[in-house]
Amino acid sequence: MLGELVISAQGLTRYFGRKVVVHDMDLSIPRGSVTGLLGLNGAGKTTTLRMLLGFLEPTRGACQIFGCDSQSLTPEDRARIGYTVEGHFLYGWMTVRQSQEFQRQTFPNLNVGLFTETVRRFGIDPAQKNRTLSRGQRAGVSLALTLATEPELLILDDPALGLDPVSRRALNETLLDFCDGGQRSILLSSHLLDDVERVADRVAVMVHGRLLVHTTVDDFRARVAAWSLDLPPASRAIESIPGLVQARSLGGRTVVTVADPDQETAAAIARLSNSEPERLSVTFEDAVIAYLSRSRDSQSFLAHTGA
Amino acid sequence: MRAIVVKELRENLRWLPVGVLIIGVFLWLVTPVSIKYGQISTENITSACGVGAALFAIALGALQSIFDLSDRQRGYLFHRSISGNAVMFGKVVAGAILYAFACAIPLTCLALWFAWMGPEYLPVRPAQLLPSVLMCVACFFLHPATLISVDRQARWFGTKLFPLVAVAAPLIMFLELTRGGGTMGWWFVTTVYVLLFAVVLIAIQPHHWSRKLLLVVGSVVTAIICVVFAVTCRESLKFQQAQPTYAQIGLDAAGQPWYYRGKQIREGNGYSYKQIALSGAPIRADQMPNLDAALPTNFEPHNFSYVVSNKTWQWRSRFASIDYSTQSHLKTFYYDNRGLALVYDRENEPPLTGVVSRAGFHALGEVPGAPFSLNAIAFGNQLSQPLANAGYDSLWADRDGVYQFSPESGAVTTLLNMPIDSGTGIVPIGGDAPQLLLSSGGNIHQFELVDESGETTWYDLDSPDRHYAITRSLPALKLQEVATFPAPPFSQSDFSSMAVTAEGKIVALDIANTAYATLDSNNASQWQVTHFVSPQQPVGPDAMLMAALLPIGLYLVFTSFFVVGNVMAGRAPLTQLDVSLPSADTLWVLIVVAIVAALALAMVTNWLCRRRGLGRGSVVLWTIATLILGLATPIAVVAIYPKLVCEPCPDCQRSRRIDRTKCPHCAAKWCSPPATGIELLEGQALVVGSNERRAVTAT
Repeated sequence: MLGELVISAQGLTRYFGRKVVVHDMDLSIPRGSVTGLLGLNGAGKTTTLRMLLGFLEPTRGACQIFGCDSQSLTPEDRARIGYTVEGHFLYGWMTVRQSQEFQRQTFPNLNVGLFTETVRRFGIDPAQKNRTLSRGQRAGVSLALTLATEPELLILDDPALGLDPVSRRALNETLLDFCDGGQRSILLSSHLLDDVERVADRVAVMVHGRLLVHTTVDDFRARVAAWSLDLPPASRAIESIPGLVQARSLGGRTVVTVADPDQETAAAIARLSNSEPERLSVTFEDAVIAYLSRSRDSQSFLAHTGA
Repeated sequence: MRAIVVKELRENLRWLPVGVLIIGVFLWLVTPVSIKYGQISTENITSACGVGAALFAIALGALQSIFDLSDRQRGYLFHRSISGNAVMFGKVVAGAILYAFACAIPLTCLALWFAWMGPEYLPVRPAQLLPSVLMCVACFFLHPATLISVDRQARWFGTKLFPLVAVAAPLIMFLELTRGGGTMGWWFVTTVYVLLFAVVLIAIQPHHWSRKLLLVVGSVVTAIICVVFAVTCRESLKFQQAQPTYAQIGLDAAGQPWYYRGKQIREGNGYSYKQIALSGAPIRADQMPNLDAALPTNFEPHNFSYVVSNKTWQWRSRFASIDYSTQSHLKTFYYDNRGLALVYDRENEPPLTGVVSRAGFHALGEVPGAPFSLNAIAFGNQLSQPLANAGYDSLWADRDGVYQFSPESGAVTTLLNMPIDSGTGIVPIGGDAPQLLLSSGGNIHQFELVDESGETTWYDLDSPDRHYAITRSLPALKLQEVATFPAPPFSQSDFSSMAVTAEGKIVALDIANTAYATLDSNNASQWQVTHFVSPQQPVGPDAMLMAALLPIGLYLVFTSFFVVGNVMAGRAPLTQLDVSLPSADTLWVLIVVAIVAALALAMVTNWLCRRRGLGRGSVVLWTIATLILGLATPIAVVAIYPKLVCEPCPDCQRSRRIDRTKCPHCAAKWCSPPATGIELLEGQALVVGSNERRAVTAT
């Protein structure tokens, strides 16, 4: 059981013209969880977040935050939600302190102390103009502004984009601190799989607007397996493997990644392989990339040049 | 909201100089630095200010909102513990502050400049910029309209600009009104239209008040634009074609009134007209003249002269418009609301050389004499139309007399010292010099304009000395009273028309064109009143064009006004064109055309509603609304309801809307996309090719 939900969506679908961008998404995010929303560019992550926050109307289906329909979020509801936009947008002409003041006037419950502390942690001078901040510092200010409103739910759209390793670590630590009490939740859209693995306890993977994975990180890791087969890479017989997520050639062998393998899966793989198939260990990153690369040829670039 | 206001002010302060520049340039373009280089017109200043202010309002609104279209900026700004409306309101307040400064700075500079230059150089008071201020206030509504337009979730080339159009069009009407345009009829129709449409919208959609209000205004304005378009088309066609025929009353050489069908045709440069009589008959007592009867050979109709009253508003001092001016001999005269005429000489420095009062010209510094009792230049100009037609300087006149002003000497000669209620200037039929018929205390005084020798031969209508731009000097004139007789026994004698023959026969026509009166001024006899029946005339091609355009393009209500207006007033409503009463047959044609057009429009609305997937009840309501409100209804449907996207139903394969949960044909819900077998949901997996779930255990 998931317990109390902070975000839920039922059959959430969004078309742009005749193109479906988010397709029949059911999503449930329990309180106290950190959910990583993963997907390639154009998979529908940002569209989903915009619908969740009420900035975009779903074509059909519905979504709720704290039980309220996203299209009818009140200022009080929004005060409980922290949202950092992609790229950590800030008004460049404002100083960090002016940004804090702007935030305070539009979020009455802003914790100035928390803001100051977070900014200090990122090593930022409050008198500095936003436009002069580095990308990492801007992320720090953006995050500080959001966290200082003491939200119950944090929605982050690709917060680590372009950050250096130190800033990324600071970001991750901040997020972990934020969720420390177990009552706050995070929905984190990102391309950085190791960061997500480090911070998130749940994962949602979107491929072509569909939610293919929505479970805990541990469950996800456990339910994806990989074998190395002695089989020509272009063989169409691979498609007969039940739960096949991805097949790719590596060093003259074929590596297949499979979801929810069972005895039938193992038998199919054994039948196809000219020699004993080798079971490979699958990392979180491997598993996610296997899902994401279903829609894109992700082999080595050298494979095409014959190098 | 204060934070939003401050932020918007800080962000957009840089556009303030641009606004000042835009409005300033427009004001600069229409304001000559001195009277020497052109006439000052506060109406032109108002218009120019309106155009500049409107451009800045639109630009500012766009600049304040266009950047919020990006997801990042929109998310950052609108995800706050304040409502989206508060954010928008904050933007409007900030825009209003910037806009106010952008308008106030150039207008204040202009007012200061007017004050600094003084009347010696410019006949304008700073206070006369008040209409410009009002225009600026009105134009500001373009700012929130632009904000809403940009923020609106619609296609740019679909209905996104709808709110902007909604505000822009009334402003154009407002501008026309401030410039003295005759558009009050349109406003009347608009008011009725707004009320009807608001009621229908409220009945159909109980929510979204702001959007409804917007649509009401927008639809109305769109309709107004259509009216303007239709009338413009009509005017354009009229200019290119010979004038349609109208039934009208004129006089033959003997002073006998005739009812004839005639037309005006443009000749020469297109700005002068020639009257041609085609058919008609003399007016007999209690008879309806036969308009189709053949006219005698060489019949040339003579028109009546309109009697102007001293009560007419044009002769009063008006705060919000230009003081009446006339130009003569390189001099410009402005009527000052103190009752004096300011004299500006373009070759003098400073141009203001003095003022003219009833006592004559007074140089600067001198104490002027008694002021005129009303705008003597304008009133006199109307009374002495025959002089203007011949290219002479006009006489001046006020409530207390008639004056001759000599631009060369500056002398004012009182030609007549008598209270004047109304009057007209007439060249007698067969006569050689103009006369004045002036009404005073219930009597009409007939004067001849004679020179010092008592002759009328000075008047030369076709002199080669005539110049289209410079008027000819009048000789020293005198008013020689010919006769005095009582006013014609019409209830509204001030507005009737009069004519005089060379033999002294006076003919007066009542305003309703149902009676005329004659009197022999030589014998001071009584008025002989003749009542007659005005012939009914089929609506000419001009009115037919209008009658066809309006119902097709507009709405039944408007057509009703047209028809009722014709019946009641005998003229086309709204345009005040002289159109004779339509016959019963023509009336029926108009009604049928209107009904057919309304039904066609209703079918279009019905089709649009169904294309947009509205429920049966809504389709019926909108269709009925079209019969009442016309073109605005399908426009509203297009604006309110998005275009449908349909896909085949997975169950019945018939086309169904993608935004509806159930299929209207088979009531099936949308199926989830078929599972691929790799879906990993917490504690369960999907079976390939179906959406059945099976429990899983990690291996």
